[in-house]
Amino acid sequence: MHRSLHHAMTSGITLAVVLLFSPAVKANGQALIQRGAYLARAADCVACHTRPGGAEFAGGYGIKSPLGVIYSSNITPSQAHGIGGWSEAAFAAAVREGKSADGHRLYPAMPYDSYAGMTDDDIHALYVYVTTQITPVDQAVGPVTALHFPYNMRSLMRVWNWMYLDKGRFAPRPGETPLQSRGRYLVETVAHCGTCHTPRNFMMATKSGHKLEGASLGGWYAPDIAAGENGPLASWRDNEIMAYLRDGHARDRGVAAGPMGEAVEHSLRYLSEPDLAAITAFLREQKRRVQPHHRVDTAVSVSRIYDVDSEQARATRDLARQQRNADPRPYADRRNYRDIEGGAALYMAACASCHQLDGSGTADDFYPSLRKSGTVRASRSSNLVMTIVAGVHRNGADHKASCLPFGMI
Amino acid sequence: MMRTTRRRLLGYGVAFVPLCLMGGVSGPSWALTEKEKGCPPDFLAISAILTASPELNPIMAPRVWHALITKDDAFMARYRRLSDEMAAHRIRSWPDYEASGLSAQKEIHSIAVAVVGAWYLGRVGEVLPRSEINTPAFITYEGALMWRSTRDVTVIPTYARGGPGFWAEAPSSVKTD
Amino acid sequence: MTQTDYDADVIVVGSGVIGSLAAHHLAKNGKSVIILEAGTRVPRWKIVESFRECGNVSTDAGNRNQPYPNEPWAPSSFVPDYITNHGPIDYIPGMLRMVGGTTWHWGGACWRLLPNDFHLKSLYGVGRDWPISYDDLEPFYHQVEIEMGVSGDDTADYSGQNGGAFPPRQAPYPVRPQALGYFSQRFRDRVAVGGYSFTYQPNGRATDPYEERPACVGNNNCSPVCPIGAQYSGDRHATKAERAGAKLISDATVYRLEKTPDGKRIAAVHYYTPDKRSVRLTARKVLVAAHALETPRLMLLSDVGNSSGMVGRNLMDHNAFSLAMIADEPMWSGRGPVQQGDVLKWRDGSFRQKHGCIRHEVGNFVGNVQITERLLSQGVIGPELDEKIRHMAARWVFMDSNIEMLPEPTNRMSLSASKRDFYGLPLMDIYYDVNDYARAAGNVIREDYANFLKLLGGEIFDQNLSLWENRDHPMGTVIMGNDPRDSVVNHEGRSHDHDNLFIATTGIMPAASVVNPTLTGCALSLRSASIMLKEI
Repeated sequence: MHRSLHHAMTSGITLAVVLLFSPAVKANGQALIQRGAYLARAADCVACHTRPGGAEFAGGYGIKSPLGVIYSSNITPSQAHGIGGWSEAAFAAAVREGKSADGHRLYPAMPYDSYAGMTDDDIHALYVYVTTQITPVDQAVGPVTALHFPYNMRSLMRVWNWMYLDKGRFAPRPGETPLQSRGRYLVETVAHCGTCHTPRNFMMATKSGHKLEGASLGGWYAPDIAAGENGPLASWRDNEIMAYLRDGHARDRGVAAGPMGEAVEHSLRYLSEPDLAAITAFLREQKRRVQPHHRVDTAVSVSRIYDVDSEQARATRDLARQQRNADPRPYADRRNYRDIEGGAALYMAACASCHQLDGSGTADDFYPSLRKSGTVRASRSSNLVMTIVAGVHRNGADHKASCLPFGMI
Repeated sequence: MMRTTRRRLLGYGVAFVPLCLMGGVSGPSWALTEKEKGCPPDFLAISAILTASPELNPIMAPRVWHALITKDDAFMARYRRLSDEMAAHRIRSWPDYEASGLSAQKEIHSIAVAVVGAWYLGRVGEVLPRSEINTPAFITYEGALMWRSTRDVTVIPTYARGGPGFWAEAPSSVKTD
Repeated sequence: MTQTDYDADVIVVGSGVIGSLAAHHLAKNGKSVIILEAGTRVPRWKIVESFRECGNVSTDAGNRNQPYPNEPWAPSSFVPDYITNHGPIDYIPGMLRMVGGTTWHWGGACWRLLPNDFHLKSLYGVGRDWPISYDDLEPFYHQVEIEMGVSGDDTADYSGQNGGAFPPRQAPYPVRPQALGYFSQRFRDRVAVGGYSFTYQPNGRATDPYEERPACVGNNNCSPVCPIGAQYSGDRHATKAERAGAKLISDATVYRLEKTPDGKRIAAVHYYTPDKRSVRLTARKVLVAAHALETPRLMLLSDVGNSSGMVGRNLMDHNAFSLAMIADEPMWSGRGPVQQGDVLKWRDGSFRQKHGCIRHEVGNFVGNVQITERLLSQGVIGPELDEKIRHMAARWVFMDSNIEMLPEPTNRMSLSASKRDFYGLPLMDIYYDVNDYARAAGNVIREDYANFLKLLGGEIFDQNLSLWENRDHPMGTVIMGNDPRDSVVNHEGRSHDHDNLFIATTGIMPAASVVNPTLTGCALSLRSASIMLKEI
């Protein structure tokens, strides 16, 4: 980017970031509510506090943890069943310390260990938004969280918190640019990326010293997202990282699916451009030592001209023909789908219609490249398998993406 | 098989049918059927001439041959007549075929059309809308040459070009189509 | 003696869209449902593979049944001897036997009937009146459109009068229209000069993602199979019915409806397994949704519901003609779905006293196959072949027309005296002919085609004005009416003869009109299911 333009953009973003942080801006009325709504999006409250098909923020969503199912609570301002009547202090204690207003301890499925860093101003804005703008839902959540002994003893959370909860509020650090600072706040606190991307220890606490290095999530894997020196995202350009977060996909890089798809759909696509830039800037600060198995991307980018007879397309078709010829009967049998084992033939039947015979995706990237896909090329197969089984259903800023699930039959 | 082809066709003036078509091309890595094995060495070259396509997929040739002789018991003999005539007229390229007058010879030309038809339609035989018996011999779907002259504008059915709605705009070539 | 132990509240025979919609409705309202399906279940990708490897089928042409499973105990309709024609016109509709039924290979058209279609006899003096009106069916059209995700033009006058939006709807279409392709726009503009309007065809394709279906991206293969499932097919509701608690038994060929000793109700349903074992199941109510030909076949085999003698009779379709031309400008058919709109000039009007209404359905599929075959037959090879394919494909215009048929008792399906199926049961004979009412409409089509050729500067590629093509829209075979003497079911879809037997198929429609009957069959099915629900 041209130096002066870059400079102007950085200054502009810096200004915006400073304004967002400035305590002198005690925004009132509409501005405060908008800030609260924005923070609720960025913190993605709705994702966990809404049951599929249920009323927003009314809870009842079962979070499957290794210790059992943890059900989210009703955080609408309902007096009887939600947080209507909670003071701001009680709200802050729940969000930042995992203490419910009636004294019981929350499990860190509610990522209070991330939200612990939230500033007082942001808590205030969030509180005003949640208690005045969300429709109260006067219904009990229904299912009750009941983990196995000893995890059902919520008082044990005190011990856990003593060991693992960093109660420090967010503050800019020396040596950080305002952009990096804002990025750190978003990544480590508000958008709580580490909740998925940082590995956990045997006590289910995030491992300090291994921030954002990657962790398993059910069948999915939340990868290492370092974009600094030697990081897996180092080769991504800034606009690609931002596009991935905003739209859920970046051409020839990858797509967000499963839990990350949900994060894009409910939260990240609503972030402002300066905030996306800030997250990117912070991720650039995450460096890695060179890993012995660190792979250089050798995938050849293939032209995306629509052609089923190109050299690469022929390679797929010829391989599929070879597989069909090797064992023709299941292919010829119109009701047999369980005995078909040819990968290329399966690819042609199930995937090529969209991703094209040469795996390069369509010219408009509506169907992304599989050749260049980070998921396809990852050394861990988790995400590729999960994507094939569960499909992709993601509504990003630009369009709804849909890859059919093949795990049903 | 391929070496034999190269040697045999040296007399044809291989310049018109690029060596890359034959050199360095190994056949399919699966076992060929008996019928496919009988694919004449010059079949690919002759197909390339009649379709005016140097870039035919060599792996397809045995399949095309198989389909042609499956649907017509007499095809092997008919093909030999065509290839003999083409050799006699020293046809090494499409312009040669055009100039030769063979297209006016109904019988010979009909064999040429059968060969071209197999490559273009990806099958040999007539489609029967209400039968599953005596239906065409299948060669290829995606490899059928009939798609290539329109693929910049329309789709090969079941292969998407992109996202929804592209069809609303006029194709970029419409002024000169 | 009353039987209190049933295998299910309802047995549904047939898992096509019509049966599955009803089964889903009953199951989600808490009733126990068993769906019996003669065929098997196959994932979409397998069908795409079978389609591409078939060699005998292409977009909108060839043998549409062939990519699909075809078993001896569940034959699809083109199997030899399945149907034997005895009349002057060959009638064998495309039909599948598998979970999801024949909407696997339909063109996705989802029309409502017009109010006048329900009163053919009173208004125009021909055919039969429906025993219900448009208003009776409207709420069910509405529900079914939401269930299936129907896309339509809320501003369109579907009666072809170029007036305001019609017929009346309680709510807008659940799915917005797809963009009109460049081809459709040019076609519309060119024929408008001659006073013909082009109207967006309501359809079951997802313009935007709808429930589990992705958006249509124009794979141009709606029939015989949508590779991505953007187009609705009956398996969607078979799956939904199962999720709602219905039990679906596949490879179960129902061969007999067993009557109670007094003959007033259906006591049980019998089916065969592929290894010829017979299974008997009981239910409070039975809904037969086995397609317009297999349904009367089952009833005839069982000697059920035929006091009127009308079972199998009054077979109607929308047989008519077609035109393919090479127009004088590149319009590029084949971009988007295989059909986008229709010319509805003759959709309704007083002319229906004299001839059937007419619908010209404009194709939008790629013409490469037909064009290449034609050029080869003309001896074209070499570079000229590619040039001409492109030139003609760019100018390809195809339409097929539909004509309204009247119910004639002599047009019928009956049991064959000689041909037997895998289980030794009689297969089908069909006698089919068209009458003067249809022929008169055929003359109008002749004029319209001449006009279209002129308006589009077209050269005829193929024009058929003599062979009565099937449209795969069988109706009338288990006809609905108020009078048990000349109808098989009443206005509820309930058999006149057996009060716990409901019939749900396009076969119950007493008037054919001229639009694809699937949506109407679905609305009627949902109506019957709602009625059944109140009685269980």
